Amino acid sequence: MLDYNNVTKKKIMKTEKLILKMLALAIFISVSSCGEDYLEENPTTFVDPGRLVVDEEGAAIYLVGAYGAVQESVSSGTGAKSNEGFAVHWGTMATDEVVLPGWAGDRKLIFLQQVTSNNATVENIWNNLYFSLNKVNSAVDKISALTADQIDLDIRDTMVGEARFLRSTINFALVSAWENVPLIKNELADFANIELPSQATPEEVYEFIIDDLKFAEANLEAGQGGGRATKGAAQALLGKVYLQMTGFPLNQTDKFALAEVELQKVIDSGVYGLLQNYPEVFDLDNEQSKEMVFSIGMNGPGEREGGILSTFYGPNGNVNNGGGFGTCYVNASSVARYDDDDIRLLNNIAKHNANIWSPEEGMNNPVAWGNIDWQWRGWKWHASKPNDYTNDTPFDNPYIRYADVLLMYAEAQNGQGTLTQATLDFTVNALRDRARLEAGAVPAMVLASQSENADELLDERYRELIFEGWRRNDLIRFGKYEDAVLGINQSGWTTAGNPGPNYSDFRIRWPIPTAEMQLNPNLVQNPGY
Amino acid sequence: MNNLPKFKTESMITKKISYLKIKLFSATILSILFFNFAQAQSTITGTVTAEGGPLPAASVLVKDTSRGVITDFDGNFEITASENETLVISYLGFVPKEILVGTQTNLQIDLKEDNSTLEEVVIIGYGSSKRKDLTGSISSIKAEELEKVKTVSFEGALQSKAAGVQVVTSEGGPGAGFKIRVRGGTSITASSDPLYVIDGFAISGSGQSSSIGLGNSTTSPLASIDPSTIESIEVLKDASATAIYGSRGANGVIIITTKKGKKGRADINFETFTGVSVLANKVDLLTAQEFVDWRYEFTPWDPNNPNDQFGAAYRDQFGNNVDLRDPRILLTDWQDEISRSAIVKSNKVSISGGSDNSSYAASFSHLDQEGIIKTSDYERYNLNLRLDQNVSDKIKAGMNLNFGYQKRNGVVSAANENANGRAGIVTNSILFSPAQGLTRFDDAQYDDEGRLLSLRGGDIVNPNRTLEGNINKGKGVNAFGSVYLEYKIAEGIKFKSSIRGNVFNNKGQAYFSGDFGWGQFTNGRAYTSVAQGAGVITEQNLNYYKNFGDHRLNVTAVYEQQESEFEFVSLEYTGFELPGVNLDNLGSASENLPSRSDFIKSTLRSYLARVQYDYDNRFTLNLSGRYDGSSRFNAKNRYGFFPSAGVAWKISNEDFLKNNTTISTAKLRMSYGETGNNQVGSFRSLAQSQLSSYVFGGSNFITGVTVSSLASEELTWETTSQLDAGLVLGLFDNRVNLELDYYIKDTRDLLLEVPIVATSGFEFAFQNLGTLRNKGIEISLNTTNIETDNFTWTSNFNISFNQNKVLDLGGANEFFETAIGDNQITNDYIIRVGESLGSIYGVETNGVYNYSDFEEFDGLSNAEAADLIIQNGEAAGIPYYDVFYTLKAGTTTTAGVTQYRPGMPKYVDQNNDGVVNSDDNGIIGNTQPKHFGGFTNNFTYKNFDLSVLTSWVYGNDIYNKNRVRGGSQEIPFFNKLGFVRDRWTPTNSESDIPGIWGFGDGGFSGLANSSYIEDGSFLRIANITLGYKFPKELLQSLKIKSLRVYGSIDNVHVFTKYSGYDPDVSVGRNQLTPGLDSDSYPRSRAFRIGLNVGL
Repeated sequence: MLDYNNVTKKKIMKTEKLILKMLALAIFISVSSCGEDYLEENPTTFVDPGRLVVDEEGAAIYLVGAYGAVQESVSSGTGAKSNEGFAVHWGTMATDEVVLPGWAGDRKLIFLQQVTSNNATVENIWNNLYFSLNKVNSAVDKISALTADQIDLDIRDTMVGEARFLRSTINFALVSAWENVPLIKNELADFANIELPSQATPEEVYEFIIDDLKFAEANLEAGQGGGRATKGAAQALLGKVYLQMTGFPLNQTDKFALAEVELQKVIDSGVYGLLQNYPEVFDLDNEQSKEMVFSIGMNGPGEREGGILSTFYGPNGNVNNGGGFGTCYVNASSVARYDDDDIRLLNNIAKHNANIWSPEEGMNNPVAWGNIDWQWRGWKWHASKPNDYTNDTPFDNPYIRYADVLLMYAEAQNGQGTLTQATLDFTVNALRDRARLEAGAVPAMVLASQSENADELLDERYRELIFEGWRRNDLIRFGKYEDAVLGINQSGWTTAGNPGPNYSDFRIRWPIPTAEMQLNPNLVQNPGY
Repeated sequence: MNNLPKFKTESMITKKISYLKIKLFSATILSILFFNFAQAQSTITGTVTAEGGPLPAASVLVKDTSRGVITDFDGNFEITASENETLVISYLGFVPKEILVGTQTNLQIDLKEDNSTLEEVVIIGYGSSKRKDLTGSISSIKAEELEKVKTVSFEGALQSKAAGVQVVTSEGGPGAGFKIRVRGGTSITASSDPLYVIDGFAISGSGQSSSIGLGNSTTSPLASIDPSTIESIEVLKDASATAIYGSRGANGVIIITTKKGKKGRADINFETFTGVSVLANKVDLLTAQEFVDWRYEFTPWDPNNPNDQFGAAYRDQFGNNVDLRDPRILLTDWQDEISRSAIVKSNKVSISGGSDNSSYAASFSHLDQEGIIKTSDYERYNLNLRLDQNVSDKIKAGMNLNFGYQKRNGVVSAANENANGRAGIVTNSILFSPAQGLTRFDDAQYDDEGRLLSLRGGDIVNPNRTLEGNINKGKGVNAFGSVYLEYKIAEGIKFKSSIRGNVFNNKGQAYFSGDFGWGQFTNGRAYTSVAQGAGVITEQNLNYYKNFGDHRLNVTAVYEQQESEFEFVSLEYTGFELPGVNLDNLGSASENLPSRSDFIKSTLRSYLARVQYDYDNRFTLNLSGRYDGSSRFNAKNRYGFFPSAGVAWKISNEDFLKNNTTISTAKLRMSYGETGNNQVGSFRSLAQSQLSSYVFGGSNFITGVTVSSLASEELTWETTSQLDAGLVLGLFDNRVNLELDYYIKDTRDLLLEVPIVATSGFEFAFQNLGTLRNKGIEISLNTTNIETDNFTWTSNFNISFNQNKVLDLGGANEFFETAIGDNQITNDYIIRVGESLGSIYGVETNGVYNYSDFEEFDGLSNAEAADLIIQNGEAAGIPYYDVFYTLKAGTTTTAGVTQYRPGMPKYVDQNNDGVVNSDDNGIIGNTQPKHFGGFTNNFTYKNFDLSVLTSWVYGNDIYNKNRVRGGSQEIPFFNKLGFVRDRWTPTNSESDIPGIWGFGDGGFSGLANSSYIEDGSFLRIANITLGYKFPKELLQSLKIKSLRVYGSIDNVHVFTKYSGYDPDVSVGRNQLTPGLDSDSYPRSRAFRIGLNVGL
C-alpha cells in the first residue's frame, strides 16, 4: 500500500515537473516576443510619401499622383470616384449652355442662381480643389527638395514644371469661381500646425499662377503630352490666364498683348493643329490628338479612372443605349446660334432618343430628330450603343484645345484693336471651314468693329467649345454674364425654371462655404452672400 | 472528536471560498472527512435530485452538528441521524432544503434552483466573483434562461434581457448582424461596439460585411456560435467592471462562457427544434387598382394621341378604363411572390460529465434556416469541446475548442442605392408594377411570354427574375480555441498560463446576371472576396487569495499579449458569355477589373492587476488598473493606464438590518474609473499615401500615389471616465430583487476625424479631440410573484434610459454623414455639438400648397377651385398638374422651385426670410430612444412551463429611406407605398400628402425631409414558449433522465405606428447613421416545436 502510494506520488511528481517545465516554456515563448518591436506597425499596404520621394522613380510616381488630383477636381468630374468636377458646375451649369431639370438636386440651385453659402455642391468643389492643391503642392515641395545626388536636376525641374502647371490649373479655378481665395503655396507639414489663412487678392493669385506657368514654360519640353503637361500647354494656359485678367474683376487690358505673345508661341511651335472633322475630335480614338494642347486623362469603365462626359451630356434614352442620365438639357434658344448646316450642331446637340436610334442616326438622320426643343440634350462625346459606362465614361476631358488657342489668339488681337481678316481666316474661319456641312452654309466671319468682333468671337466660342467648361469664364471676361443669365427662357418640364429673376451682380462669383467660414474666422464672405 | 477541522456549516465554506471549482474540490475532501464520523443511530438513505436528474456531490448535513455526507454519482446518500434531527441538503446554485428526519428512512429530495441571483458566481474577466461582492454593474444571463427560449443567435439571446444593453437588428434576414450598444455609443469615429470575450478570447465586435457588390448586409462576428453552448453571458457596464479590459473596455464588455462538464454527472442531451417562419407583416402598398387609378390621374386620356403607349396601358382604344379582371392585365402581389413559408431545423447532441479530477463537455449542432424570401437561407455547424483535468493536487489543465462553419445564400438587401438596376430585392418587390398593362414600353424588357422583366431600361427588375438570376452567397469557418495550465504555488496562490487563438476564413460571392438590371450593362458581373484572419493571446495570471479574520483579500495580476491579423482579396469580373458559367469559373469572364487586397496587423501588450477586498462581509473595495500598449499609436503615446475603484456597502449585513423581515438584501455600490478605446483601425498615426492614378495617352493606366494623411505622433487613447452609483435591494426573502443604476459616462479625447479647414488640404485630421456624454438610469427588477409547490410565477423587468450628447467636436460645430439607400440625398445625418448621435438632418415639411395660397383661387370654395383647376388643364390639353398658378404675395417659396400649383409640398421656413433654402435645414429626427427594455414572465404549473417575452423601445425616430422612392410620384412606372393613396388631389385638397409629382418638382432635392421620418416606438411580444417536462416516473420506465417538449412562437406581435417591415432596424455599417431603414429584409413570425432529451 505504502509502496504503491509512493510510486503514484513519484509519478505525479514527475508529471508535475514535466508540466511545470512546459509552463515555463509557454511563459518563455510568450514573454520572449517582448521587445518594443512587438508594438511597431510595419504597413505593407501603402508607402510613406516622405520615403517614396527620394529618387527619380519615386518622384515620378508621386507626380502621377498630382495628375490624379487634378483629374479629380479641375475636370468635369470623376464618375467612378463620385467627385463633382469644377468644369461642369462652374463652367457650364450657370450659363446659357444648359438648363437643369427639377430633379437635379442641389446643383439645380447653381443653375437657378440660388446658391447659398450652404450649398453642398459648391462646398464639395471648394474642398476638392483645395485637397487637390495640397496634393500638388506636396509634389512640388517634395520633388523640388531633391538634390543632385538623388536625381538628375534637369529631370527634377521638368517634373517640378509639370507639377507647377497642374497647380496653376487649380489656382485658376479657385480665383475664377470665388475671386477672393486663400493662396496656399506649400503643402501642410503636420496636423499640429494648421494655418487659418486670410484671403489673397485676385492679383496675388494671378501673379502666383503666372509665376508657376512661366517656370513650367521654361522647363518643359515641347510636344503633345498625351495628357502630360508640356511647354505648349503652359504657354496656352498662360495665354488664357492673361486673357482672363483683361476682364472682370481685374480688367487689366494690358494683358491682351501678353496673351497674344504666349498664344503666338503655341501656334508657331507647329506641334498642334486642327483635326479634319469636328466630330472625330471627341472620338475615343483621338483623345490625345494634335488638337489637344492639354486634355485631362480618364478611362473607364472599371478602372476607377472614368469620367462623366458622355452620361452627364447625352441623348434621351438609357445610358446603356448611349443616352445620358438627364442631368441637364440644352438651353434651346442658345442653340439658335448654330447654322443648321453646322456639323457642330449635329455633334453637340442631341434631338433624338438613344433607345430608338443609333449614334450615327442620331447625328445624321433628320427623321431621328423628333424631340421637342426642351427635350434636347447636350451630346459632344458619343457613347456607343450598347455600352456599359454608367457613370464611368472613358472620355478624356479637353482642357485647352488648339481650336481654343486660335479663338483666344483672335480675341487677344481684337482686344488690342489689331485683329486682321488674315488672323480671322486662320482662326475663326478655319473652324468654320471645318464645320461647314455644305458649301455656302456657315458663312465666314468678316472683320467688323471691335465690339462686333468680340460678340462674334464669344458666339464662336459657344459653338466650338460648348460643354468644355469655359463658358462662364468667357461670359464674365466678355462682360456678358448677366445678359446670358437673364436671357435664359425655357419652358417645358425639363427645366426647373428660369434663373433670371434670382440674379444679382454678386452672383457672378460663388460664396465661401459656411463650413469653411466657421472653421476659419479669418475669412471674409464674398459680398452679397 | 474535538479536534475536528472547523468545517462547520455549508454557508461558512461558501463564505470562505469564492470559486465554484474550488468549492467542489473541497466538498470532496469534506465528504472523505465526514464519512469517518457517522454515528450509530438509525441509518437513513436517500436520493437528491434536481430537475428530475440525480445530483451528485450535494451536501447532506445534520443540522447543528458536524455530521455530514456527500451524495454519490447517482445522487444517493446514506447518513445516520436520530428522529428529531433535521437534515440540511444543499448544493451551490440551489435553494437548500431542511427535512426533519422523523420516521422516514428513504428520502427523495428534489432541490430547486436558487432564483436569488446574489449567491451566483459572476465571471468578471480574468477571474470571477460572487454577485453579492460586486462593486460594479454587471448583467448576467445564465444558461437556464437561455435554455427556456431557444434562440438562433447569440444576440437574440441577449435582446431585451439586460438593462443598459440595446440590441438592434441590422437589416434583418437569416444570419444578419446586430448593433449592440452598452449604455449608448461612446465614440464617433472609433468603434462603439462592445468588446466580446469568448472563454477569455477577446474580439472587437463590429459587424462584418457579408455582402459584396451592392448590398450592405452584415453578419455578427459571433454568428458561428451556437447560443445553446453558452453557459453564461455577462455584460460588464461600469468602469469598475470594464477597466480590467483597459484600452478596449469603454464600450462595455460582453463575456461569453461556454458550457463545461459537471463533476460526477454524465449527461447526454439531444436537442432538436423545427419550425416554420412566415412573413410577419407586409408593407402597405397601393393595390393594383389604386396604382392604375394613380396612372389615370397622372396621364389623362389624350384623344389626340390615342396611340401613346403610356396613356394606353390601361385603357382601350376609346380611352375607357380597362377592368383589371381583364385576362390581358397581369396582376401580381410581389411581396407574396418573393416570400415563402420558411422551414428552420436545428439539432444538437451534447455530452458532458466528469469525475473528481476531470470534466468534459462536447457538443455538435446543426442549424438549417430558410429565409422567408425565396432562395435565402442560412446554415451553421458548430462543434464545441471543453476538457478540464486535475493533473495533481497542484496542477490543473484544460482546453476548449469552438468551431463553427456557416453557409448562407441570400439576396441583396440593404443595397447601397435604389436606382439604376442596383436596388435590392425588397425595393424591387415594392416598386415593381403590380399590374402589367396592355402596351409594351420601348425601354422595358419582356420575356418570351410577354411578361414584364424590367422597367426603365433595367432600373427596376421583376423580383422573380432577380431571385432566379442573381447569386449572393457566402461561407466561412470561425474557430476559437484555448489551452491553460494552472499551478497552485502555495495555499491561496495560483498561477495560470493560457494561450488562446482564433482563426476565421470567409468567402463571399455575388453574381449579377447579364440579362437584366445592373449586370446587363456588362453582360454579367461577378464578385468574389476572401477574408481571413487569426489572433493569438497569451495570458499569465497570478492569483492570491487569503482570509485574515474578517478580512478577505483577492489579488489578481496578469501579463497579456495579443496580436491579430486580417487580410482580404477582392475580385471583380464582368462579361460572362457561357450560360450558367460565372462565379465558379471566373476565367471565363472577358474582363478582369482591378482587384484589391489588404493586410492589417495589430498588437497589444498589457499589464493588469485587480485587488478585491472585503471587510466583515459588509464593505467591499475593488481596485483595478490596466496598463496597455497598442501598436496603433506612436511609440511616445503608446501606453495608457486605466484605473478604477469601486466600493460596496452591504447594508443588510449591518446589525440594524440583519433581522429585518422585509429587507433581505441591501447593497449600495459606487464606482469610478477610466477605460479606453483604440478601435480606430491600424496605421492611423502614420503618414500615409493613397493611390491616385492617372491615364496617359488616352488609355494607359499609370499608378501614382499622393499624400492622404500626415503622421499623427500625438494620437493616443480615447478615454471614457464613468461614474456609476447603484442600489441592490432584495425584499421578502429575496423574492423581489431590484437593481438600480445611475451612471454618467464622459468620453474625452475622442479619436475623431475632426473637420479642418479645407485650405489645409484635408477634410479631416485624425485627432484626440472632443467630448461625448452618455448618462442614464437602468432599472431591473426580478420578482418571484407566486411560489407554491405546483405553481410559480416569476418576472423579470428591465428598463434603460440613456441620453447621449456631443459636448465638443474640437472646434468644429458639426459635420455630416450620408446614409446609404439613395444616391441623390446627401448629408442626411448630422453630428452636432449639443445634440445626440443619430440626429437626422434635413428640411421640415409643412403640408402642401393649397388653393388658398394662390391668387387664382381667391374667394373660391374648395369644390369650385377643384372644378377650375381641372378645367384649366383640360382647356390647355395637359394634365391639371402641369398648369401653374400665382402664389399670393408673402407665401413661402422653395429655393429651386420656380413655378407652383396646389398640391406641391411646402416646407418650414425656419428663419422666416420667405424662402426655404439650405439655411432652413435642421435636425428633423433623432434615432436615440428615450427608453427601452424588456419584460419577461415565467410560469410553471406542475410540469408545464410558460414564458412570455416582451420588449419595447420608446421615443426614437426611424429614418425610413424607402419612402424616398416608394413615395415618389414623378416616375409613373413604379408602384408606390400605401400612403400615396391619400395624396392631394383637386378633390381631396385637405390632404397633407403631396399630389402627383410630389417631391419631384416641388422638392427640395438632395436633402432629406421630415416626411421620411417615422416614430420608431414599439412594443413587441417577442416570444411565447410553452414547455412540458415529462414526469420522472414515466421517464424512469423509459430509462431516460429528462424529456421536455415545447412549442414556441417568435415575434408574436408588434404594436407600432411604423409603416415599414419592422421598427427594430438599423441598416448599414456606418455607426453614425443608426436607425436607418432602407431596403431591409422583411421580418418573420416563427412557429417552432422542440424536444430536449437527456439520457
